[in-house]
Amino acid sequence: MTTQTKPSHLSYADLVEIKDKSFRVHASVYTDEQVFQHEVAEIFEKTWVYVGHESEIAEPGDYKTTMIGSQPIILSRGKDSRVHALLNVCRHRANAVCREERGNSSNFRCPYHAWTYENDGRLIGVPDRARYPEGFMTEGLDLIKVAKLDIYRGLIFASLSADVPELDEHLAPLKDHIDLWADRSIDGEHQVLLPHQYAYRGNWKFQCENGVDGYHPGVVHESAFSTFGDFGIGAFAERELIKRGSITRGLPGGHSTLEGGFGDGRGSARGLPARFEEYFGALKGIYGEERATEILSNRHIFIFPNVFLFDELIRIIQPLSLEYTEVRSHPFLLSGVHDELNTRRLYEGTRQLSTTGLVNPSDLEMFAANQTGLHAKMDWLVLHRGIDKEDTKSSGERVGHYSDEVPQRSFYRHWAQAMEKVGAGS
Amino acid sequence: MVSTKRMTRQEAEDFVYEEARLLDEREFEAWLSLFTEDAIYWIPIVENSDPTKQTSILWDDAQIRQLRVHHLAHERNVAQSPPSRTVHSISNVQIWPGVADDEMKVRYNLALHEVRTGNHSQLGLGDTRILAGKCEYLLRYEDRWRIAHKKVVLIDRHLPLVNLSFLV
Repeated sequence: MTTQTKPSHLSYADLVEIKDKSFRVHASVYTDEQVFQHEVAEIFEKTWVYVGHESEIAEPGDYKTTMIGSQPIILSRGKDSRVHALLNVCRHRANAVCREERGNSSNFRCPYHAWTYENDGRLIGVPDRARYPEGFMTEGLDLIKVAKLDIYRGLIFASLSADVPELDEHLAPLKDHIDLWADRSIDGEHQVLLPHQYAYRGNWKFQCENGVDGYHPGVVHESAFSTFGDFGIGAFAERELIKRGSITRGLPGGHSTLEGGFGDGRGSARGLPARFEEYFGALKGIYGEERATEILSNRHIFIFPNVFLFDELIRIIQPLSLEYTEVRSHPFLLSGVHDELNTRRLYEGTRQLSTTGLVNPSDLEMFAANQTGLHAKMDWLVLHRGIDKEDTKSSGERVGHYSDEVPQRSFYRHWAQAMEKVGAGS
Repeated sequence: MVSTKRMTRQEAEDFVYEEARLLDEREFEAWLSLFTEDAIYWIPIVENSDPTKQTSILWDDAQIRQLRVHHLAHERNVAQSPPSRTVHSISNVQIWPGVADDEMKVRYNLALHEVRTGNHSQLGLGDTRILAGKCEYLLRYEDRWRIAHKKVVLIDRHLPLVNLSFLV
Protein backbone atom coordinates (compact mmCIF):
# COMPACT_ATOMS: atom_id res chain seq x y z
CA MET A 1 0.00 0.00 0.00
CA THR A 2 1.39 3.39 -0.90
CA THR A 3 0.56 6.18 1.44
CA GLN A 4 1.36 9.84 1.41
CA THR A 5 5.05 10.58 2.01
CA LYS A 6 6.67 13.87 2.95
CA PRO A 7 7.03 16.09 -0.14
CA SER A 8 10.77 16.50 -0.75
CA HIS A 9 10.60 20.30 -0.89
CA LEU A 10 9.28 20.45 2.70
CA SER A 11 11.38 19.98 5.83
CA TYR A 12 9.91 17.97 8.71
CA ALA A 13 9.14 21.19 10.54
CA ASP A 14 7.39 22.50 7.40
CA LEU A 15 4.81 19.74 7.78
CA VAL A 16 3.17 22.09 10.26
CA GLU A 17 2.17 25.23 8.35
CA ILE A 18 1.34 28.16 10.61
CA LYS A 19 -0.09 31.40 9.24
CA ASP A 20 -2.02 34.29 10.71
CA LYS A 21 -5.44 32.79 10.24
CA SER A 22 -4.67 29.28 9.23
CA PHE A 23 -2.98 26.28 10.82
CA ARG A 24 -2.50 23.14 8.78
CA VAL A 25 -0.65 19.86 9.18
CA HIS A 26 0.47 17.84 6.21
CA ALA A 27 -1.16 14.43 5.79
CA SER A 28 2.25 12.74 5.82
CA VAL A 29 2.63 13.37 9.58
CA TYR A 30 0.24 10.41 9.89
CA THR A 31 1.28 8.32 6.90
CA ASP A 32 5.04 8.58 6.30
CA GLU A 33 7.16 5.75 7.77
CA GLN A 34 10.18 8.09 7.97
CA VAL A 35 8.15 10.64 9.94
CA PHE A 36 7.24 7.89 12.40
CA GLN A 37 10.87 6.76 12.79
CA HIS A 38 11.95 10.36 13.43
CA GLU A 39 9.15 10.83 15.97
CA VAL A 40 10.45 7.86 17.93
CA ALA A 41 14.03 9.17 17.78
CA GLU A 42 13.43 12.92 18.16
CA ILE A 43 10.43 12.97 20.47
CA PHE A 44 10.10 9.74 22.46
CA GLU A 45 13.85 9.21 22.93
CA LYS A 46 14.61 12.86 23.67
CA THR A 47 12.03 13.98 26.18
CA TRP A 48 10.42 12.96 29.46
CA VAL A 49 7.97 10.10 29.01
CA TYR A 50 5.52 8.90 31.68
CA VAL A 51 6.44 5.33 32.67
CA GLY A 52 4.13 4.59 35.58
CA HIS A 53 2.74 5.58 38.94
CA GLU A 54 4.45 5.07 42.28
CA SER A 55 1.48 3.06 43.57
CA GLU A 56 1.97 0.47 40.80
CA ILE A 57 5.33 -0.45 42.36
CA ALA A 58 4.48 0.37 45.95
CA GLU A 59 6.62 -2.27 47.75
CA PRO A 60 10.35 -3.04 47.50
CA GLY A 61 10.79 -5.65 44.74
CA ASP A 62 7.66 -4.56 42.84
CA TYR A 63 8.22 -4.07 39.14
CA LYS A 64 6.37 -3.50 35.90
CA THR A 65 7.56 -3.65 32.32
CA THR A 66 6.69 -0.91 29.87
CA MET A 67 8.08 1.00 26.91
CA ILE A 68 9.60 4.37 26.10
CA GLY A 69 9.06 4.85 22.38
CA SER A 70 10.11 1.47 20.95
CA GLN A 71 12.45 0.49 23.78
CA PRO A 72 11.48 -2.09 26.43
CA ILE A 73 11.84 -0.82 30.00
CA ILE A 74 11.66 -2.31 33.49
CA LEU A 75 10.40 -0.01 36.21
CA SER A 76 11.32 -1.43 39.62
CA ARG A 77 11.52 -0.54 43.29
CA GLY A 78 14.77 -1.61 44.90
CA LYS A 79 15.46 -2.95 48.41
CA ASP A 80 16.12 0.62 49.48
CA SER A 81 12.66 1.65 48.16
CA ARG A 82 14.19 3.74 45.38
CA VAL A 83 12.61 3.64 41.93
CA HIS A 84 14.72 2.44 39.00
CA ALA A 85 14.10 2.56 35.25
CA LEU A 86 16.22 0.02 33.37
CA LEU A 87 16.47 -1.10 29.77
CA ASN A 88 15.03 -4.61 29.61
CA VAL A 89 18.02 -6.14 27.81
CA CYS A 90 20.68 -8.54 29.09
CA ARG A 91 24.22 -7.21 28.68
CA HIS A 92 25.37 -10.66 27.48
CA ARG A 93 23.42 -11.58 24.33
CA ALA A 94 20.65 -9.00 24.47
CA ASN A 95 17.75 -11.15 25.67
CA ALA A 96 14.88 -9.45 27.44
CA VAL A 97 15.58 -10.32 31.09
CA CYS A 98 11.98 -9.88 32.27
CA ARG A 99 9.03 -11.42 30.42
CA GLU A 100 6.26 -10.60 32.89
CA GLU A 101 4.03 -7.52 32.87
CA ARG A 102 4.33 -6.94 36.59
CA GLY A 103 5.34 -8.74 39.74
CA ASN A 104 7.68 -8.73 42.71
CA SER A 105 11.25 -10.01 42.59
CA SER A 106 14.56 -9.17 44.21
CA ASN A 107 16.35 -9.89 40.95
CA PHE A 108 15.95 -10.44 37.21
CA ARG A 109 17.48 -13.65 35.87
CA CYS A 110 17.99 -13.71 32.14
CA PRO A 111 16.06 -16.75 30.83
CA TYR A 112 18.74 -17.49 28.20
CA HIS A 113 22.04 -18.02 30.11
CA ALA A 114 21.01 -16.98 33.64
CA TRP A 115 22.99 -13.81 33.97
CA THR A 116 21.31 -12.36 37.04
CA TYR A 117 20.76 -8.76 38.01
CA GLU A 118 19.64 -7.18 41.27
CA ASN A 119 16.37 -5.27 40.76
CA ASP A 120 18.35 -2.02 40.82
CA GLY A 121 20.19 -3.27 37.72
CA ARG A 122 23.50 -4.45 39.26
CA LEU A 123 24.90 -7.65 37.68
CA ILE A 124 25.22 -10.14 40.56
CA GLY A 125 25.64 -13.51 38.88
CA VAL A 126 27.29 -15.04 35.80
CA PRO A 127 27.13 -18.89 35.67
CA ASP A 128 30.38 -20.80 34.96
CA ARG A 129 32.32 -17.63 35.20
CA ALA A 130 35.63 -19.51 35.04
CA ARG A 131 35.07 -20.18 31.33
CA TYR A 132 35.54 -16.50 30.61
CA PRO A 133 39.13 -15.35 30.01
CA GLU A 134 41.22 -14.46 33.01
CA GLY A 135 40.53 -10.91 34.08
CA PHE A 136 36.91 -10.99 32.83
CA MET A 137 35.30 -8.07 34.57
CA THR A 138 31.61 -7.80 35.22
CA GLU A 139 31.92 -4.12 36.04
CA GLY A 140 30.16 -2.02 33.45
CA LEU A 141 27.81 -4.90 32.57
CA ASP A 142 24.91 -3.85 34.78
CA LEU A 143 21.50 -3.35 33.17
CA ILE A 144 21.54 0.02 31.43
CA LYS A 145 19.80 2.70 33.42
CA VAL A 146 17.44 5.06 31.65
CA ALA A 147 19.35 8.37 31.65
CA LYS A 148 16.96 10.38 33.81
CA LEU A 149 14.16 9.53 36.22
CA ASP A 150 12.06 11.83 38.34
CA ILE A 151 8.69 11.79 40.08
CA TYR A 152 6.03 14.47 40.45
CA ARG A 153 2.95 13.85 42.64
CA GLY A 154 3.40 10.09 42.26
CA LEU A 155 3.77 10.27 38.47
CA ILE A 156 7.05 8.67 37.37
CA PHE A 157 8.72 10.08 34.27
CA ALA A 158 11.92 8.90 32.59
CA SER A 159 14.05 10.18 29.75
CA LEU A 160 16.34 8.09 27.55
CA SER A 161 18.34 11.24 26.87
CA ALA A 162 20.37 12.96 29.60
CA ASP A 163 20.18 16.17 27.59
CA VAL A 164 16.73 17.31 28.72
CA PRO A 165 15.61 20.09 31.06
CA GLU A 166 14.73 18.99 34.60
CA LEU A 167 11.27 17.39 34.97
CA ASP A 168 10.14 20.44 36.96
CA GLU A 169 10.86 22.62 33.97
CA HIS A 170 9.24 20.20 31.52
CA LEU A 171 6.04 20.15 33.59
CA ALA A 172 6.13 23.82 34.67
CA PRO A 173 3.31 25.03 32.36
CA LEU A 174 1.06 22.23 33.67
CA LYS A 175 1.96 22.10 37.35
CA ASP A 176 -1.08 24.03 38.59
CA HIS A 177 -3.32 21.66 36.65
CA ILE A 178 -1.54 18.52 37.84
CA ASP A 179 -1.80 19.79 41.42
CA LEU A 180 -5.56 20.32 41.05
CA TRP A 181 -5.85 16.81 39.63
CA ALA A 182 -3.79 15.26 42.44
CA ASP A 183 -5.53 17.23 45.19
CA ARG A 184 -8.78 15.38 44.48
CA SER A 185 -7.36 12.79 46.79
CA ILE A 186 -7.99 13.98 50.34
CA ASP A 187 -4.51 13.06 51.56
CA GLY A 188 -2.78 13.21 48.18
CA GLU A 189 -2.37 9.45 47.62
CA HIS A 190 -3.63 7.56 44.56
CA GLN A 191 -3.92 3.85 43.98
CA VAL A 192 -3.49 3.20 40.29
CA LEU A 193 -5.24 0.02 39.10
CA LEU A 194 -4.81 -2.28 36.12
CA PRO A 195 -5.51 -0.56 32.81
CA HIS A 196 -8.39 -0.79 30.39
CA GLN A 197 -6.46 -1.67 27.25
CA TYR A 198 -7.38 -1.08 23.65
CA ALA A 199 -5.69 -0.83 20.29
CA TYR A 200 -6.58 0.81 17.02
CA ARG A 201 -5.47 0.73 13.39
CA GLY A 202 -4.32 4.32 13.24
CA ASN A 203 -1.55 6.75 14.07
CA TRP A 204 -0.73 7.49 17.73
CA LYS A 205 -1.31 11.23 17.39
CA PHE A 206 -5.05 10.79 16.74
CA GLN A 207 -5.58 9.76 20.36
CA CYS A 208 -3.36 12.60 21.62
CA GLU A 209 -5.42 15.13 19.66
CA ASN A 210 -8.75 13.56 20.50
CA GLY A 211 -8.51 13.56 24.31
CA VAL A 212 -8.41 17.36 24.37
CA ASP A 213 -10.78 17.88 21.43
CA GLY A 214 -14.01 19.48 22.60
CA TYR A 215 -15.42 19.67 19.06
CA HIS A 216 -16.11 15.95 18.56
CA PRO A 217 -18.02 14.78 21.68
CA GLY A 218 -21.37 16.23 20.60
CA VAL A 219 -21.02 14.25 17.36
CA VAL A 220 -19.08 11.06 18.06
CA HIS A 221 -20.61 10.58 21.50
CA GLU A 222 -24.08 11.92 20.75
CA SER A 223 -25.50 8.39 21.02
CA ALA A 224 -23.83 7.79 24.39
CA PHE A 225 -24.79 11.14 25.88
CA SER A 226 -28.36 10.94 24.67
CA THR A 227 -28.58 7.39 26.06
CA PHE A 228 -27.29 8.53 29.45
CA GLY A 229 -29.77 11.41 29.23
CA ASP A 230 -32.67 9.06 28.45
CA PHE A 231 -31.81 7.13 31.59
CA GLY A 232 -31.61 10.27 33.67
CA ILE A 233 -27.92 9.96 34.48
CA GLY A 234 -26.53 13.16 33.09
CA ALA A 235 -26.70 14.84 29.72
CA PHE A 236 -24.13 16.58 27.59
CA ALA A 237 -24.74 19.70 25.53
CA GLU A 238 -21.78 21.18 23.70
CA ARG A 239 -23.41 24.61 23.47
CA GLU A 240 -24.08 24.62 27.20
CA LEU A 241 -20.41 23.93 27.86
CA ILE A 242 -19.38 26.83 25.65
CA LYS A 243 -22.02 29.13 27.16
CA ARG A 244 -20.86 28.53 30.67
CA GLY A 245 -17.26 29.19 29.76
CA SER A 246 -15.72 25.77 29.29
CA ILE A 247 -12.34 26.15 27.66
CA THR A 248 -9.42 24.68 25.79
CA ARG A 249 -5.94 25.68 26.82
CA GLY A 250 -2.75 25.32 24.78
CA LEU A 251 0.49 25.48 26.75
CA PRO A 252 4.16 25.81 25.86
CA GLY A 253 5.88 22.44 25.54
CA GLY A 254 3.03 20.85 23.57
CA HIS A 255 0.91 20.37 26.69
CA SER A 256 -2.77 21.30 26.86
CA THR A 257 -6.05 21.01 28.72
CA LEU A 258 -9.75 20.68 27.98
CA GLU A 259 -11.68 22.09 30.91
CA GLY A 260 -15.41 21.44 31.28
CA GLY A 261 -15.81 23.29 34.55
CA PHE A 262 -17.65 22.39 37.73
CA GLY A 263 -20.82 20.35 37.43
CA ASP A 264 -19.64 17.75 34.97
CA GLY A 265 -16.64 16.43 36.81
CA ARG A 266 -17.95 16.29 40.35
CA GLY A 267 -15.73 13.32 41.07
CA SER A 268 -18.20 11.05 39.28
CA ALA A 269 -20.59 11.44 42.15
CA ARG A 270 -23.79 11.70 40.18
CA GLY A 271 -26.24 9.35 41.81
CA LEU A 272 -24.37 9.55 45.14
CA PRO A 273 -25.26 13.13 46.16
CA ALA A 274 -24.83 12.58 49.90
CA ARG A 275 -21.38 11.03 49.44
CA PHE A 276 -20.47 13.82 47.07
CA GLU A 277 -21.46 16.55 49.55
CA GLU A 278 -19.39 14.79 52.23
CA TYR A 279 -16.39 14.66 49.88
CA PHE A 280 -16.83 18.23 48.64
CA GLY A 281 -17.19 19.32 52.28
CA ALA A 282 -13.88 17.66 53.20
CA LEU A 283 -12.10 19.39 50.31
CA LYS A 284 -13.69 22.74 51.26
CA GLY A 285 -12.41 22.19 54.80
CA ILE A 286 -8.86 21.81 53.51
CA TYR A 287 -8.76 24.27 50.61
CA GLY A 288 -11.78 26.58 50.93
CA GLU A 289 -14.77 26.60 48.61
CA GLU A 290 -13.16 28.30 45.63
CA ARG A 291 -10.23 25.93 45.28
CA ALA A 292 -12.34 22.89 46.20
CA THR A 293 -14.67 23.81 43.32
CA GLU A 294 -11.71 24.15 41.00
CA ILE A 295 -10.30 20.79 42.17
CA LEU A 296 -13.57 19.02 41.36
CA SER A 297 -14.02 20.68 37.98
CA ASN A 298 -13.87 18.44 34.92
CA ARG A 299 -10.42 18.62 33.37
CA HIS A 300 -8.51 16.65 30.74
CA ILE A 301 -4.77 17.25 31.07
CA PHE A 302 -2.49 16.29 28.19
CA ILE A 303 1.22 15.93 28.99
CA PHE A 304 3.35 15.94 25.85
CA PRO A 305 4.02 13.61 24.14
CA ASN A 306 1.62 10.81 25.13
CA VAL A 307 -0.16 10.85 28.49
CA PHE A 308 -3.48 12.17 29.75
CA LEU A 309 -4.68 12.76 33.28
CA PHE A 310 -8.46 12.43 33.31
CA ASP A 311 -10.92 12.72 36.19
CA GLU A 312 -11.06 8.95 36.69
CA LEU A 313 -8.03 7.56 34.89
CA ILE A 314 -4.50 8.01 33.58
CA ARG A 315 -4.22 7.24 29.86
CA ILE A 316 -0.99 6.26 28.11
CA ILE A 317 -0.73 6.20 24.33
CA GLN A 318 1.82 3.71 23.02
CA PRO A 319 2.77 3.96 19.35
CA LEU A 320 3.70 0.53 18.00
CA SER A 321 3.93 1.39 14.32
CA LEU A 322 2.86 4.10 11.93
CA GLU A 323 -0.69 2.74 11.73
CA TYR A 324 -1.06 0.77 14.95
CA THR A 325 -1.39 2.16 18.46
CA GLU A 326 -2.13 0.70 21.87
CA VAL A 327 -3.80 2.67 24.64
CA ARG A 328 -3.77 1.89 28.36
CA SER A 329 -6.23 3.70 30.61
CA HIS A 330 -5.52 3.11 34.29
CA PRO A 331 -8.39 3.89 36.70
CA PHE A 332 -7.21 5.11 40.07
CA LEU A 333 -8.72 5.17 43.54
CA LEU A 334 -8.53 8.28 45.69
CA SER A 335 -7.43 8.03 49.29
CA GLY A 336 -9.41 9.51 52.16
CA VAL A 337 -12.72 9.24 50.32
CA HIS A 338 -15.59 6.82 50.95
CA ASP A 339 -15.30 3.41 49.24
CA GLU A 340 -18.69 3.93 47.59
CA LEU A 341 -17.39 7.02 45.83
CA ASN A 342 -14.30 5.22 44.54
CA THR A 343 -16.43 2.30 43.37
CA ARG A 344 -18.72 4.73 41.53
CA ARG A 345 -15.74 6.36 39.83
CA LEU A 346 -14.43 2.93 38.79
CA TYR A 347 -17.88 1.90 37.56
CA GLU A 348 -18.41 5.07 35.50
CA GLY A 349 -14.95 4.67 33.99
CA THR A 350 -15.86 1.13 32.91
CA ARG A 351 -19.22 1.94 31.37
CA GLN A 352 -17.80 4.92 29.47
CA LEU A 353 -14.14 4.32 28.77
CA SER A 354 -13.41 0.60 28.84
CA THR A 355 -13.22 -1.31 25.56
CA THR A 356 -16.88 -2.22 26.17
CA GLY A 357 -17.75 1.36 27.18
CA LEU A 358 -20.36 3.53 25.53
CA VAL A 359 -17.90 6.34 24.81
CA ASN A 360 -14.38 5.13 24.08
CA PRO A 361 -14.92 2.55 21.28
CA SER A 362 -16.50 5.29 19.16
CA ASP A 363 -13.32 7.35 19.37
CA LEU A 364 -11.22 4.37 18.29
CA GLU A 365 -13.58 3.81 15.37
CA MET A 366 -12.88 7.39 14.27
CA PHE A 367 -9.10 6.83 14.42
CA ALA A 368 -9.32 3.83 12.07
CA ALA A 369 -11.62 5.85 9.79
CA ASN A 370 -9.14 8.72 9.96
CA GLN A 371 -6.23 6.50 8.91
CA THR A 372 -8.39 5.01 6.15
CA GLY A 373 -9.25 8.50 4.90
CA LEU A 374 -5.58 9.39 4.77
CA HIS A 375 -4.98 6.61 2.24
CA ALA A 376 -6.59 9.09 -0.15
CA LYS A 377 -3.92 11.54 -1.16
CA MET A 378 -5.14 14.82 0.23
CA ASP A 379 -2.35 17.22 1.21
CA TRP A 380 -3.35 19.24 4.23
CA LEU A 381 -5.56 18.86 7.32
CA VAL A 382 -7.13 21.97 8.78
CA LEU A 383 -6.65 22.82 12.46
CA HIS A 384 -7.54 26.49 12.62
CA ARG A 385 -10.84 26.40 14.48
CA GLY A 386 -10.83 29.44 16.80
CA ILE A 387 -7.38 30.62 15.69
CA ASP A 388 -8.34 34.32 15.43
CA LYS A 389 -10.35 34.25 18.65
CA GLU A 390 -7.91 32.65 21.07
CA ASP A 391 -6.52 34.67 23.93
CA THR A 392 -2.71 34.57 23.91
CA LYS A 393 -1.00 35.36 27.20
CA SER A 394 2.56 36.60 27.68
CA SER A 395 3.57 33.15 29.00
CA GLY A 396 2.70 31.69 25.61
CA GLU A 397 -0.45 30.10 27.01
CA ARG A 398 -3.43 30.32 24.66
CA VAL A 399 -7.04 29.97 25.73
CA GLY A 400 -10.01 29.25 23.48
CA HIS A 401 -13.58 28.06 23.63
CA TYR A 402 -14.32 24.46 24.55
CA SER A 403 -14.56 23.36 20.93
CA ASP A 404 -11.57 25.30 19.54
CA GLU A 405 -8.50 23.47 18.25
CA VAL A 406 -6.16 25.27 20.63
CA PRO A 407 -4.66 22.07 22.17
CA GLN A 408 -4.01 20.48 18.78
CA ARG A 409 -2.15 23.60 17.61
CA SER A 410 -0.10 23.57 20.81
CA PHE A 411 0.81 19.92 20.15
CA TYR A 412 1.93 20.55 16.59
CA ARG A 413 3.86 23.74 17.39
CA HIS A 414 5.98 21.72 19.78
CA TRP A 415 6.07 18.71 17.46
CA ALA A 416 7.50 20.91 14.68
CA GLN A 417 10.16 22.25 17.04
CA ALA A 418 11.23 18.73 18.00
CA MET A 419 11.25 17.55 14.37
CA GLU A 420 13.15 20.63 13.20
CA LYS A 421 16.34 18.96 14.46
CA VAL A 422 16.01 16.22 11.86
CA GLY A 423 16.83 18.72 9.16
CA ALA A 424 15.36 19.24 5.73
CA GLY A 425 17.51 16.72 3.89
CA SER A 426 16.75 13.63 6.01
CA MET B 1 -41.68 -25.48 52.11
CA VAL B 2 -39.88 -24.49 48.93
CA SER B 3 -39.48 -27.39 46.59
CA THR B 4 -36.01 -28.02 45.21
CA LYS B 5 -35.56 -26.95 41.59
CA ARG B 6 -32.86 -28.69 39.57
CA MET B 7 -31.86 -28.72 35.93
CA THR B 8 -30.51 -31.51 33.76
CA ARG B 9 -27.46 -30.73 31.65
CA GLN B 10 -29.66 -30.83 28.58
CA GLU B 11 -31.97 -28.21 30.07
CA ALA B 12 -28.96 -26.05 30.95
CA GLU B 13 -27.65 -26.42 27.39
CA ASP B 14 -31.04 -25.42 25.98
CA PHE B 15 -30.97 -22.35 28.21
CA VAL B 16 -27.50 -21.10 27.18
CA TYR B 17 -28.04 -22.01 23.51
CA GLU B 18 -31.17 -19.87 23.55
CA GLU B 19 -29.26 -16.98 25.10
CA ALA B 20 -26.62 -17.29 22.36
CA ARG B 21 -29.32 -17.29 19.69
CA LEU B 22 -30.90 -14.14 21.12
CA LEU B 23 -27.53 -12.36 21.08
CA ASP B 24 -26.60 -13.47 17.56
CA GLU B 25 -30.04 -12.64 16.15
CA ARG B 26 -30.03 -9.28 17.93
CA GLU B 27 -33.12 -9.96 20.02
CA PHE B 28 -31.66 -7.83 22.77
CA GLU B 29 -34.86 -7.02 24.69
CA ALA B 30 -35.54 -10.73 25.02
CA TRP B 31 -31.93 -11.23 26.11
CA LEU B 32 -32.41 -8.63 28.87
CA SER B 33 -35.42 -10.51 30.18
CA LEU B 34 -33.28 -13.60 30.86
CA PHE B 35 -31.68 -11.87 33.86
CA THR B 36 -33.00 -11.48 37.39
CA GLU B 37 -33.52 -7.91 38.55
CA ASP B 38 -30.43 -8.04 40.81
CA ALA B 39 -28.16 -9.85 38.35
CA ILE B 40 -24.64 -8.67 37.60
CA TYR B 41 -22.96 -9.40 34.30
CA TRP B 42 -19.18 -9.29 34.74
CA ILE B 43 -16.17 -9.59 32.44
CA PRO B 44 -13.16 -9.35 34.76
CA ILE B 45 -9.54 -8.58 34.01
CA VAL B 46 -8.43 -10.41 37.16
CA GLU B 47 -10.57 -13.53 37.51
CA ASN B 48 -11.17 -13.50 41.24
CA SER B 49 -10.76 -9.81 41.98
CA ASP B 50 -13.20 -7.54 43.79
CA PRO B 51 -14.92 -5.57 41.00
CA THR B 52 -15.55 -2.67 43.40
CA LYS B 53 -11.80 -2.23 43.80
CA GLN B 54 -10.19 -3.50 40.59
CA THR B 55 -10.65 -2.65 36.91
CA SER B 56 -13.11 -4.79 34.92
CA ILE B 57 -13.70 -5.05 31.18
CA LEU B 58 -17.44 -4.97 31.87
CA TRP B 59 -19.47 -4.88 35.06
CA ASP B 60 -23.17 -4.30 34.41
CA ASP B 61 -26.18 -4.16 36.67
CA ALA B 62 -29.74 -4.15 35.30
CA GLN B 63 -29.71 -0.43 34.49
CA ILE B 64 -26.45 -0.53 32.55
CA ARG B 65 -27.54 -3.66 30.66
CA GLN B 66 -30.64 -1.75 29.55
CA LEU B 67 -28.58 1.31 28.72
CA ARG B 68 -26.21 -0.80 26.64
CA VAL B 69 -29.09 -2.34 24.66
CA HIS B 70 -30.65 1.11 24.18
CA HIS B 71 -27.29 2.38 22.89
CA LEU B 72 -26.92 -0.56 20.47
CA ALA B 73 -30.16 0.50 18.83
CA HIS B 74 -29.15 4.16 18.54
CA GLU B 75 -28.79 5.22 14.91
CA ARG B 76 -25.72 7.32 15.71
CA ASN B 77 -23.77 4.72 17.67
CA VAL B 78 -20.49 5.30 15.85
CA ALA B 79 -18.70 2.20 17.18
CA GLN B 80 -21.50 0.02 15.76
CA SER B 81 -21.96 1.85 12.46
CA PRO B 82 -21.74 -0.42 10.55
CA PRO B 83 -22.84 -3.05 13.09
CA SER B 84 -21.15 -6.32 14.13
CA ARG B 85 -22.29 -9.81 13.27
CA THR B 86 -21.59 -12.45 15.87
CA VAL B 87 -21.71 -16.21 16.35
CA HIS B 88 -21.58 -17.48 19.91
CA SER B 89 -20.49 -21.15 19.94
CA ILE B 90 -20.82 -23.11 23.15
CA SER B 91 -19.05 -26.30 24.22
CA ASN B 92 -17.91 -28.26 27.31
CA VAL B 93 -21.10 -27.56 29.25
CA GLN B 94 -21.01 -28.66 32.89
CA ILE B 95 -23.56 -28.14 35.66
CA TRP B 96 -23.62 -28.26 39.44
CA PRO B 97 -26.39 -27.71 41.99
CA GLY B 98 -26.26 -24.26 43.52
CA VAL B 99 -26.03 -23.55 47.26
CA ALA B 100 -29.70 -22.57 47.41
CA ASP B 101 -32.40 -25.08 46.52
CA ASP B 102 -33.52 -23.06 43.52
CA GLU B 103 -30.09 -22.34 42.03
CA MET B 104 -27.85 -24.08 39.49
CA LYS B 105 -24.30 -23.37 38.39
CA VAL B 106 -23.47 -23.71 34.70
CA ARG B 107 -20.07 -23.49 33.07
CA TYR B 108 -19.19 -23.68 29.40
CA ASN B 109 -16.45 -22.71 26.96
CA LEU B 110 -17.27 -19.89 24.58
CA ALA B 111 -15.86 -19.28 21.11
CA LEU B 112 -17.25 -15.99 19.86
CA HIS B 113 -16.62 -14.98 16.27
CA GLU B 114 -17.32 -11.37 15.39
CA VAL B 115 -17.01 -9.34 12.22
CA ARG B 116 -17.95 -5.77 11.44
CA THR B 117 -20.02 -5.27 8.33
CA GLY B 118 -19.40 -2.36 5.96
CA ASN B 119 -16.55 -1.82 3.50
CA HIS B 120 -14.14 -4.60 4.41
CA SER B 121 -11.17 -2.85 2.77
CA GLN B 122 -11.22 -0.10 5.38
CA LEU B 123 -9.10 -0.22 8.52
CA GLY B 124 -11.02 -1.57 11.52
CA LEU B 125 -13.62 -3.32 9.36
CA GLY B 126 -13.61 -6.74 7.75
CA ASP B 127 -11.45 -8.65 10.25
CA THR B 128 -13.15 -11.72 11.72
CA ARG B 129 -12.14 -11.72 15.37
CA ILE B 130 -12.30 -14.53 17.91
CA LEU B 131 -12.93 -14.13 21.60
CA ALA B 132 -12.43 -17.29 23.63
CA GLY B 133 -13.06 -17.94 27.27
CA LYS B 134 -15.14 -19.69 29.87
CA CYS B 135 -18.58 -18.56 30.99
CA GLU B 136 -19.83 -19.18 34.50
CA TYR B 137 -23.49 -18.70 35.39
CA LEU B 138 -25.54 -18.77 38.51
CA LEU B 139 -29.09 -19.53 37.40
CA ARG B 140 -32.02 -19.02 39.76
CA TYR B 141 -35.55 -20.36 39.38
CA GLU B 142 -38.12 -17.58 39.66
CA ASP B 143 -41.16 -17.92 37.39
CA ARG B 144 -38.65 -19.65 35.11
CA TRP B 145 -34.88 -20.12 35.11
CA ARG B 146 -33.08 -16.78 35.00
CA ILE B 147 -29.49 -15.58 35.07
CA ALA B 148 -28.62 -14.33 38.56
CA HIS B 149 -24.93 -13.88 37.75
CA LYS B 150 -22.94 -14.16 34.52
CA LYS B 151 -19.17 -14.07 34.36
CA VAL B 152 -17.13 -14.32 31.17
CA VAL B 153 -13.43 -15.00 31.70
CA LEU B 154 -11.64 -14.33 28.42
CA ILE B 155 -8.24 -15.93 27.80
CA ASP B 156 -6.91 -12.63 26.45
CA ARG B 157 -8.36 -10.45 29.20
CA HIS B 158 -4.90 -9.03 29.96
CA LEU B 159 -4.36 -7.83 26.38
CA PRO B 160 -5.58 -4.80 24.47
CA LEU B 161 -9.04 -5.66 23.13
CA VAL B 162 -10.51 -3.77 20.23
CA ASN B 163 -14.02 -2.34 20.21
CA LEU B 164 -16.16 -4.72 22.26
CA SER B 165 -19.18 -2.53 21.58
CA PHE B 166 -21.30 -5.57 20.65
CA LEU B 167 -22.67 -7.94 23.29
CA VAL B 168 -20.19 -10.66 24.33
